[in-house]
Amino acid sequence: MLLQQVVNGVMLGSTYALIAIGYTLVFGVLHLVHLAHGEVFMIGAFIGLYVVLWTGGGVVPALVGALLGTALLGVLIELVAFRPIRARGGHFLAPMISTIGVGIVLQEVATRLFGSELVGFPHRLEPVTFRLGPLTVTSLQLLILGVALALMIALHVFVARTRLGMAMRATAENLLTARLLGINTTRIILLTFAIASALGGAAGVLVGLSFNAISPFMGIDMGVKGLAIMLIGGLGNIHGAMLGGMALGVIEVLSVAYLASSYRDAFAFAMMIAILLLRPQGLFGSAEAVESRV
Amino acid sequence: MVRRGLSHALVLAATLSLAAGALSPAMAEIKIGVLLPLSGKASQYGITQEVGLRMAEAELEKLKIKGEAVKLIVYDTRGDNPEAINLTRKLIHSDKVLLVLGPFFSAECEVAFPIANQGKTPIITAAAAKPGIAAKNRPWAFRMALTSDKLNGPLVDRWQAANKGQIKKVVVLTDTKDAFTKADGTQVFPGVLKAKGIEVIDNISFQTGDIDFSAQVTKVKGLSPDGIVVVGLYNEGGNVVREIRKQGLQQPVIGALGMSEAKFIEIAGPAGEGVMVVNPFWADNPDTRVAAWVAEYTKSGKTPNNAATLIYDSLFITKQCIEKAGVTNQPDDLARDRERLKDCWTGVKGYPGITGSIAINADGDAVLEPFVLVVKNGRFELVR
Amino acid sequence: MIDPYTESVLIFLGINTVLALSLALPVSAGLLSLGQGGFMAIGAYASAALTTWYGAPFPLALAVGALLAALAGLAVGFPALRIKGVYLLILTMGFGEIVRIFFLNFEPTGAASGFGGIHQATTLTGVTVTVVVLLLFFAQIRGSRIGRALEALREDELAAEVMGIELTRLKLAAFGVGALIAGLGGALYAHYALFIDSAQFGFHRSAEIFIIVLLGGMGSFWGAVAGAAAVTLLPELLRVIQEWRMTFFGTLLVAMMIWRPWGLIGRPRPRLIPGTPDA
Repeated sequence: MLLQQVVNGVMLGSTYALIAIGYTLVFGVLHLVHLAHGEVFMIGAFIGLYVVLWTGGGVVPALVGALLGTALLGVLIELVAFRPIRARGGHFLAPMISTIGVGIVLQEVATRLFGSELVGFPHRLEPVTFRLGPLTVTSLQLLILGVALALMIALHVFVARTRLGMAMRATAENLLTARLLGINTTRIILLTFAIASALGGAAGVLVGLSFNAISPFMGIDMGVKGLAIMLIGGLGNIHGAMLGGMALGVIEVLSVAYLASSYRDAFAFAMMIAILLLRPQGLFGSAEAVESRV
Repeated sequence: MVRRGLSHALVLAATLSLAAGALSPAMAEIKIGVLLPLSGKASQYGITQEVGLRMAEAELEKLKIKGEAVKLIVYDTRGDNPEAINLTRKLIHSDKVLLVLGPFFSAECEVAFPIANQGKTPIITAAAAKPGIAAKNRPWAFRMALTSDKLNGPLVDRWQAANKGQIKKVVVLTDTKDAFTKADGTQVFPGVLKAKGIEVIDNISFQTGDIDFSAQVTKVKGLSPDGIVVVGLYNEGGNVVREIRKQGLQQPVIGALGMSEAKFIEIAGPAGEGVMVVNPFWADNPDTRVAAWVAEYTKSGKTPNNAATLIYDSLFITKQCIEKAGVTNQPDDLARDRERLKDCWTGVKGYPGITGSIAINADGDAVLEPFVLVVKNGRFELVR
Repeated sequence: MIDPYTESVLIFLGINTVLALSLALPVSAGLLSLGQGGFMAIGAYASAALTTWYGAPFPLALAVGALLAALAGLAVGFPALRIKGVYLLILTMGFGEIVRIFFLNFEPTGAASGFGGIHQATTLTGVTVTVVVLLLFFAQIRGSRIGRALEALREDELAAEVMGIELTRLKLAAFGVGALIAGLGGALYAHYALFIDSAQFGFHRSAEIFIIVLLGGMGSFWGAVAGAAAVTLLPELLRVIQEWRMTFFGTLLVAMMIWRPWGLIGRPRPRLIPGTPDA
């Protein structure tokens, strides 16, 4: 039983990790806490849902649609809500607060378009359940775990080994210097938003398929947890986000299994607070990162 | 010269029409206040109920009440308690309605009912299921909604019968975040089960808004009960049932009142087959009157539920009361009219509604007839 | 004599103003809090318990509720000493959620069923007096040494420290007094709504207060008043935009961050080199 619970936790954790990776990317390159990322994730789920409903397709078209749609959305957000702020300077928290506004608008627009009801993907897309001895897992859970791992590796390779990745890291280090070195920072920023948002959108489809619970409000909870994981894992640290997500998933599930469900969220926050107090750089972050990044 | 004549004529015409307007008496209207959550996080509940309300409104437009037109003053509370407080006050003191239908949520009722009690205006919720809220605010508050303690008994009986008396021990899964399901799952259902000789091995909790139930269901798996009782609202209940079947559990399942809606079947999908519930409103009821009502409702593109029938019936009970209780609808008579309506509502017995036969008991709660239903082929069927 | 509806709207305006002011104080010191809902809950439940269970007089219950909230504020303030910006935001949000979950499960005060039967003690006069007293208090502070210290703290913490300003005490005080005021707001709310449950004080509430202060201008007390008025009254006055209320506020927030990041009333930060963006 305990083993199954741990497996449950790891599966849940991988969905958290997927969202945290998107936050981490934006923060890592732009030093921006993108508080509307949860809403991008939610829009991704809806895009995937409507692709399936209108084309009669399956998981793959849903994912492709969500990836493209949210990438576009991410670019739009950058153009409308961030570039003007960077151009005018202003309070250092203005970008983050702007994301709050964006999130509110996205949520209300989604409620207008899709209604506030909870909906699910058509049941014909139900995942296949595998029994491995005493354990039960579904094909979808394995997919999510696999996708999260694959993304982590892909991002790592991209950022560390490719030229674009290097350009991204340079932009992250110092925008002005990167520009002086001839890097088209404007394009890099757009690319970052596109990739991070696409990740969020894909996460939305996968979570929607997994939990059958798509609504305009699914972004808030997931968003907050993703943020918490980013902090726990260390701001801007992708491995940290991955492992932090797993850890949170397991702790949450175990708390529900052995205590009561009401304390579930409290654990996420307690963990976060503990990390903030004891190790503000997160489990995997570095100490200097804290000073320069807030 | 012609111009001057024309402008004179225009002024004369305008003055005459103004005078005519001032002299003709205003059309008497029966004003009824309605509070619904039409926007915000829980708007789907209000919007679904509103369809039933507008159906009644359309019919009353033709029927009228004692020859007078009915004016529904509908305000959106957004599911927000402070809004509910402001708007209840507005309806009672500014709009001077005869009575108030709503609010929807139990928490909103908790804050609105005392205001109506103080303002001596009848207030009737056609949805809030939390027990006792009307009882605390007598004599002006009424709860035209489901009461689980009367309805769960027949459900458990039929369940046991359907399983040939084999259900000896069960696990109850309760949503402890919602006031209604918490009371239902931790007090009402266990009481009913115990009275019927069924042991509750464990009561496992989940929260409204949860999407992952793997931990709870794995726990149920370890306990090997004969049956499972899911006490949640339709979203969570649907997904709990889905998880139950996903993890391979085959036990029979019964659900709480919140799960007796069509939306539950939509969310649960194939996993919902065989789940038994109880509800005073059965959408597939072959009874001509109900079937016609459902057909009319479905034109809106939504699926009807008991909240819609309850508000529809509430409006017509109000009509009946206005006609029979000597309500004059004169502005000076407002306090007395409200009193008459309150007395009439208190004495409702055997009213033939779409929701079946309706009576109001001493607590101000509606007493409704239960249908025990089972999910078969994606629809609710009657369990005989 | 005002009609009961208008009175109701004004009372909530007053309560929202109190809550906005409770956040404006720590924000004026550069401390962002998304947890005012938690402090509000403590004030609400504590005062309600005192008047309902023990028949305590309202002013006493108010005071005790506010003080308990203040103590919680100090407790949260300690970790806040070392934490800044977005980290603090998350810490306070976590605190708010933990308080909400606590009251959701705490049976003596009703848990999920909430706490009802509170008798009405909040009046329009009472709320108005509270708001006026608070504004006088803040006007006093702004002109005083403490006010300047808060501003220095907000603008540049390191420089402030070098100048000899006692950061610890100031930060703790800002947090504690802010929490006290939020507790006051909670007690006033409880004794007007007559029923409270944990859902009233959750993240939604904290976020609403946060947005009010942002719209009004970070750290400006009059801005908090303006923000509260805007958020409370606009929907009532423009029932037309009721439907699109949140989209309106969200767009307003983005627009303000672009063109007036210092809020509706606050003052712009002087630029080091005028005309250049802070890239």
